[in-house]
Amino acid sequence: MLPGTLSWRTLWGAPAAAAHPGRAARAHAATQTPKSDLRFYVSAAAVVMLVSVIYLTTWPSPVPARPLPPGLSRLHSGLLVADPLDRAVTPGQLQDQYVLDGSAGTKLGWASETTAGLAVGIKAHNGWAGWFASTIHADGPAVAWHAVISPTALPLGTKGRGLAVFAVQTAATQKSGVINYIVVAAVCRGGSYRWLVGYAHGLVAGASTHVLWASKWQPVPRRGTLLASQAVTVVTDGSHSLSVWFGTDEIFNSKHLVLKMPAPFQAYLEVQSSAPAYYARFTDFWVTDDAPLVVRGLHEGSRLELTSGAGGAAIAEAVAGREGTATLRLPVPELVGTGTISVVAGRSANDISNAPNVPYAGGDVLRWAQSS
Amino acid sequence: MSLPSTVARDIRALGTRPFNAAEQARTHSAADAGDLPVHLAVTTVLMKCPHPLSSIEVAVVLETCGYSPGRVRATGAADLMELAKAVYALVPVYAQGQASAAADGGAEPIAHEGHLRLALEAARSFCKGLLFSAPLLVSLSTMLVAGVSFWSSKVELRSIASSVTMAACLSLIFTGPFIQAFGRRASFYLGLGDNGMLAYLTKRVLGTGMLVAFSACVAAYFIRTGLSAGGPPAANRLGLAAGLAIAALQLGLAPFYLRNAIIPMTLIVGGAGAVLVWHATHLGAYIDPVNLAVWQVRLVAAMAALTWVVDGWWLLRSPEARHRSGAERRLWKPSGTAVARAVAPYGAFGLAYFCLVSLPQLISGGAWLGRYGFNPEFSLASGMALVGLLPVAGFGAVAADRITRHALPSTLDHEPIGSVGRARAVLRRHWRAQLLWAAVAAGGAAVTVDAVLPAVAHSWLVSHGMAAHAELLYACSAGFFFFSLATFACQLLFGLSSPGRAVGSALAGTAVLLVCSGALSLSGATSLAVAAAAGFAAGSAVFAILAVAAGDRAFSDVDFTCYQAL
Repeated sequence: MLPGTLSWRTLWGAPAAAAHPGRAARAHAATQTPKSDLRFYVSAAAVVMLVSVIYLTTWPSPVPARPLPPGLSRLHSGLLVADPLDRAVTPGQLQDQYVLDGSAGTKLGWASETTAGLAVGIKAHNGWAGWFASTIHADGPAVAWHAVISPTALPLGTKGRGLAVFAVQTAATQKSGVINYIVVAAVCRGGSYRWLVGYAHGLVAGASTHVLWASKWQPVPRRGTLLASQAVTVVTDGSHSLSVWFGTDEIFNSKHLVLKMPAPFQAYLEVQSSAPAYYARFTDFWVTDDAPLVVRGLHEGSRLELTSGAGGAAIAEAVAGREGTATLRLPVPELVGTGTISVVAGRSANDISNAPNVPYAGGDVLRWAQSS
Repeated sequence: MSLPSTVARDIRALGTRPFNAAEQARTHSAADAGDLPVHLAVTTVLMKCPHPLSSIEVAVVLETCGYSPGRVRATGAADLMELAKAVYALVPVYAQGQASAAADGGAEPIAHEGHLRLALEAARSFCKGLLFSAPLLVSLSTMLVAGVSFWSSKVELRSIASSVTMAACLSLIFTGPFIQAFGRRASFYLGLGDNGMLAYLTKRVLGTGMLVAFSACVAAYFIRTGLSAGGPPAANRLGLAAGLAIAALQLGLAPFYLRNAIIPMTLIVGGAGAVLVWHATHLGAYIDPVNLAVWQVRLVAAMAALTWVVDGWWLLRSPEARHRSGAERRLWKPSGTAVARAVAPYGAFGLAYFCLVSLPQLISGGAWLGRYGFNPEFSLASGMALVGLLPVAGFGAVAADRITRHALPSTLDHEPIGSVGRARAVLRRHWRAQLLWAAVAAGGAAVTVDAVLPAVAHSWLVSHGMAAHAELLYACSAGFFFFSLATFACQLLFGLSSPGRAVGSALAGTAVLLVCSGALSLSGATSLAVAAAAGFAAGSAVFAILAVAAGDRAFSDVDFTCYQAL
């Protein structure tokens, strides 16, 4: 708005009554309006506007609701992201949780989530290019990153290369341009593929990769189908420590690396290709605190057991201490899941209390309110 | 016929000069002068509105003063408009006697001002313009210091940036007309000390503006979410919230400008800026773009809510708490149609003005191709150009205000109405000198933006590849150079009661923007960013040329009785 009369003397705002009211206005008191209605009007409108804005700006949580069975309550959640990636969602809904980007550009890169998983792909092109879905939020360093990767066996030709990548990258890229990251990838070429673990470092673009571990080249069993899926779990502090699991097997572990990855980190679900069209699927993506599951409210000496599913294999056991707290140290690949918690308060089998279908995650703090 | 006691008392208070003038007019032309009821109507109108712009405005004031159809017929006129025309014809005669009283007491004649004095006055206006631009400068510099704006940092999500910038543009475009209309009309009632109408206007004009802007943002939300086959719903909701908050802030600040409450405005904006800087510096190595955008929008909404509360509880306060009866309310409130007629030119200007400055953003995102996506290259260039030229825009507004509020009355005070040609020549010289200084200042700012700012802001620009888009920066700074001059000239045109010329200039500029950018976008001859920047530069140039020409011409045919127009 163009300013009206500008005066040094009225920079605090001249009140209406002091703004040279006309003679008629002074003579007719009726021109002075009641103030209460305007005050009520603007105050109410301000509150409505503010509440509306707060409501509209509420962002969907990357962690779904995890209802607990009766007798258990969650005091703290260690789960940071949990996305099974097995729902049919619109591209827009996908973009509310992931950034879709890459050197391939929007004309070549694509991503879609269906009940079969999140497919990230790239169309045929010239030169090396990539496309990824990265998490919007950043977490770490003391967290575990997990995804199930299903690379495809599309025909790549004799010189073609296709990569299905699960990367954990420093989020400091937005300020420093540093793109240092841990990479776990399935490298596919004509007729064979292998898995590798590496560390890449670079600025803005063109990172160079150091391979830390690699499997042997394996033949692609059938072309045009998905290769064997691999459940990958990564834990790193971004400085010296890195551990990688394939399923429940720890395939790489070192505490003496020089990683230079300032925390926090973001996960990248990515494909790269030398020229041919290529894509990969990702499912069961989660990020959680790399910390034990803690249960409080137990009697001292009570024995606690977490089993997978109903009557499945034991995942972890613990005994409640003096303060009635039991600490369950979960294997890293099994930091997130649903299981049964059994509490044995005494020596008799009759003293066992079970809580089935308990969704748990590393870093969770639960309160046991059942009689134990 | 007995005079209403109030009117009679006020006529006595006016002294003898108006009546001498009236008698003089009657001597020259009895038919034009009319009879006593018409003179009473003139006096009544001048008490409420010393310098009416047109017979329509006179009609509005007469309506406000209770001239019912019966009372109008008693004056001998067939209807209200006929009486208004008769009254308006007599206004110059009465206003001659009031001219000297309206002049600034401390003002001096400017006929013999030298270049040095004009330069000093320009420097003073520039400093004052800086002060009056302080809220916007504080806002912009805060985002730069915190490194959190979409265009000056990499802290962005494309989906969020697209929805928020689109909503921001729509908010500016759709609140602009209402802000201008409110400002001009409210200053009229402010001059009358009519707080009732101020409150009425605040609720009707600003409330309607809020609804219109919100409706536009809701429409954009549904288009982006529904028709574009799966737009990001949360990001689009955030955009809707941003549009709502920005519109609310724009409208909430309108009374601040009206009352020149620059210090409170700067405190609110500066306070919010401090919160933003604190927030950004405490987030560590990584700024979550969602978290940042959400809290920025909520901060804007909090600022807007605060401005609304300040408006209602302080700036638009009334010294008396008294309810009016229904009959009184009907007597004193003009009809909505009358108010709409009076504010229409200002609303049209506001629409064209904000279209010119906001549409390039949408065009750079592909509006001509039926889509919109945030264009960081264009946003960076236009943002930097705006930072450099904002103080100059403030200078233009202050200099124009100085001419209409001080130079013009003081000149007329020393130049008899018979030698109007000489007064016009003096004022034209003053205007041209100020225009020259405005052009020098804007040119200097443009050169600074083009040559110095990229070097100073190197660390911010590395990741944006600014060097590769220098032509965008040149085009945007040229656009804002012309835009500053046009703002200066339009302020003057409004001051000289020639809103039509300002509206015409702004509409022509917007049309050129649309044609130029549309041709470039649809032909594919240039990138969308270049099309938007070129369109903005061309549109602003046309806007400036027409407005400056109209401003210069205004001194040839200006009706000096309206020098202190709204």
